[in-house]
Amino acid sequence: VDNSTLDYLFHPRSIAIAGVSPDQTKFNVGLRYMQSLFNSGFKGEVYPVGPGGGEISGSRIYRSIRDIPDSVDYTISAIPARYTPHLVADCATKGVKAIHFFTAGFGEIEDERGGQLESAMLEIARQSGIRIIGPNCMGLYCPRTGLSFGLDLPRRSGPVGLFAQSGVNSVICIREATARGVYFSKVVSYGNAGDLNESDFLKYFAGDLETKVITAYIEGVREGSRFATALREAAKAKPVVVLKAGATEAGTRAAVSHTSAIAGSNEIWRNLLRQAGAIQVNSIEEMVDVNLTLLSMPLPKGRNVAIIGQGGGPSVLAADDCLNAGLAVPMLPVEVRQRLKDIYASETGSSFRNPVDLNPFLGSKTLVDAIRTVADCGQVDLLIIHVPFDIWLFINSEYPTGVFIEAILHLNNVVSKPVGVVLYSQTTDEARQLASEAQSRLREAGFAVYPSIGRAASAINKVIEYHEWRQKATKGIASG
Amino acid sequence: MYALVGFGFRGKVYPVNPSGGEIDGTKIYASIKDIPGSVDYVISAIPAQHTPQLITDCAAKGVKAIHFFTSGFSEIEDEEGEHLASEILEVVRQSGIRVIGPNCMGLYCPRTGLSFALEFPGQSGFPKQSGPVGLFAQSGGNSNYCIREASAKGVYFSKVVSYGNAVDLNESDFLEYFAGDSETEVIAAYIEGVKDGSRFARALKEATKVKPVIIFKVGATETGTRAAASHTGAVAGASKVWESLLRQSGAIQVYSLEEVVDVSLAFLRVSLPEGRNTAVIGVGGGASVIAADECSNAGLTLPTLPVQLRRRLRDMYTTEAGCIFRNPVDMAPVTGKKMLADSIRAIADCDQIDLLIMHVAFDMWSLIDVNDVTAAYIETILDLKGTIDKPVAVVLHFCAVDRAKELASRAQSRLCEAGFAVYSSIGRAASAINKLIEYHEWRQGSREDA
Repeated sequence: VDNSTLDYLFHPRSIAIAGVSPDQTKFNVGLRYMQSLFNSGFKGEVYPVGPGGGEISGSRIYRSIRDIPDSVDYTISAIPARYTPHLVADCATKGVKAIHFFTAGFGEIEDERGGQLESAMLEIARQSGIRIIGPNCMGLYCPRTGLSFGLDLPRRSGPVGLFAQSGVNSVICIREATARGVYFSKVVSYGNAGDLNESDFLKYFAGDLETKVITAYIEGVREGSRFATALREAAKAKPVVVLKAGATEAGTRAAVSHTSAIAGSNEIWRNLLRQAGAIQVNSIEEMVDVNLTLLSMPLPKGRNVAIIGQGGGPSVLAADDCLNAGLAVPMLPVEVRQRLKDIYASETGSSFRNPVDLNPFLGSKTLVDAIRTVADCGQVDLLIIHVPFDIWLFINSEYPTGVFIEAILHLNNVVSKPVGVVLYSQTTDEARQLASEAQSRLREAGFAVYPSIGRAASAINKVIEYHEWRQKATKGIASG
Repeated sequence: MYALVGFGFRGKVYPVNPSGGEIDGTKIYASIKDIPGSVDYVISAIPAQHTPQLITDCAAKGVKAIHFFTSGFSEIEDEEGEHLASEILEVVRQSGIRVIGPNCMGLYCPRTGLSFALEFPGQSGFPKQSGPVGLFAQSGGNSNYCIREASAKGVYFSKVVSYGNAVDLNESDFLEYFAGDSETEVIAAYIEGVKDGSRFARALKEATKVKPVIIFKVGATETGTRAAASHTGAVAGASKVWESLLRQSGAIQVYSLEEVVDVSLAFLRVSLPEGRNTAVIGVGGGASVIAADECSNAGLTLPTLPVQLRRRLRDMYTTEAGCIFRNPVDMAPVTGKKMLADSIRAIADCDQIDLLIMHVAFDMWSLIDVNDVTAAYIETILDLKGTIDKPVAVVLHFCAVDRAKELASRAQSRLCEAGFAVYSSIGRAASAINKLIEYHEWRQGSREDA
């Protein structure tokens, strides 16, 4: 199958939504999908379908797909599982190319009739050449063409292509990413993967020009060896970030009940991902951290990090966190330390060894000088600058943290090495507010911003590892 | 001075400065010796080179203890700092004055009005409410963070000591004190390095027999050790040595400041479960898969719910489509609060379940207003208070977008106020509860040995 053909999924000219009721007083998934398409600016035709007919917001509700006067490219199904074989047959008659089943109650439930129904529905689709997304999933989100499975998902496009087995987790991924300034080319929530599965989407994203980073949330794969091959190919072309859930025995059981996936052992997955050059992450948060690093931080030449920030205790923690994540924290050479001591006139209340603990009370210009001195050091490959919000006691934290943020914003033109910024220690509403404003400004200026030093260090190390793998893998090709 | 006055300290406060003058209508004394009344305690914020003279003056005045905020001693690269440190120690020994620090924030004790935090517009001071946790922390910034993170979760302190370089009073002194302090039920410590290893080991073994001791040992890596030396002049020790020491003495080792609070919270607000069999209840299939992994990784077990119970839940919900009843249990609250409460109670009544973790995710809703769904869950949990006799923890997670953050913060305040243990991830809740169980297992084991 040539997967570039899957591009039509994201460019339907017309969409039918099965399961729309004219009664607006009751929660109705079909109607919500209709509103989502409207809110995200979908420009094609949208046809609501419901057995009772009637009207909704001025649009006629068709009793059957077959009654729609024009052609239909794509159908969203929000009807009960037992009616789905009939829906597929109608779609076949109408010439529909693909159906997304929000509908659940198939192979993932305990009742074996669910599995039987899924097979029956899929068989009709296969015979008629209709491709299926799902069942039991949220479907497609593509800001560029106005496809959406949410009333308020961002309309802004970005370079991340995500395929996620869980609907809820795909929403969570989008929101967590948005909050950190990471946006998507396309997102597919694909549930039980009855027809189109992880390998199809992986191959599609590998060839998709709008996607620079591929990201996946997987509970289990349908075709193990096809997936392994596709993964190896994809990782050579662009980074592939994978969160494999359902790794423990209890998680596997939950995955079966959730999307009827066969999860596979932890060990097998770890090896598969490592050998294929994929970047394995262990949480949704880490998925976003790694995406952010790939998109917003130039590749450091090595692992020698200078940790710059405020607070003796926080510096001790920062050093442990960086080392545990696989980075190195070299002692700064004596000349650099001397230059810092000259800038600050004293070392009292500061520390210049690395971690570098700098007090902000001499203002942001001094801070910029000091940071530049550290960045110019030949033994330093990258900087992590950390700004804790809840450590201030005798002064409103707005002032010292503000000095740090100003200084960082000035670094763009004067520091040539990669910089990661950590805004953390935010437990109070006030601190969260300050940090959130600072994050917006820093993201706008293009900085990668993280909520903890450990998370920043781990994401950076994983990106370095990926590039090391890729260099080896492409060299292998070059030498035959 | 503002910190004490603002916090409601009732005793006398005397400002001292060589040039004298007045501040807010209070006379500034040129020397400690000029103060008319007696002085119990001195806070020093003067440059390091003048501290030996200050101690001599304090000795003359009969001062019992001095806290040195002053830094610039053995933690800096300069030899002079090292020299000064030994000099003040010498003067102190002769005079019998006890020293806290130098290079630290000192004492916070809400009951007596001691504090080292100021209140500003837009920034709260430390809570005036007392609680059962006694904390000693080598770093000032990190003790501040602990206090704030804890109070956000409804955990409060009897006393907090930020003790910096520990030239005189050190970790063993504070540990022994808290072990015997009737206002302290849980001891927590942030340690960069110890001054007297064998004394500390002995004190720890004694303390854990009477109350839980939670320890965050940092500077565990080679670089962390170097940072600790620059920070408080501490000798950090290898991480393996620490791990064995803490395990053998029954202390609870944690690996972040957040975990210090998580575990304290478990001790204060989660009653001891009879075993590790956990029911995880929440919304979202994918969230449930991750929840299961995280509980298992933390050491808890998730038994499949018995078939009769599953059938009962299926009958209540009339279908299994979109739900999971095996455990983790995935139930959307769309059928109303009553049904949700009934099903949670049915699960809690199951003999094979020792504790419940209920999780509410905020960023997962896209076709429905987040407030509509999460509010139903939060209300249900609040209503369940007192009707379930098994230990319960609540997780409010995935709240990255602004609206979710706001809703989660409000929900947290209400649940904390109602006495629930609230965590920000399933992994953190599971790990804290597992550590609570481990401590009690250790304690029972050590009692049986005795």
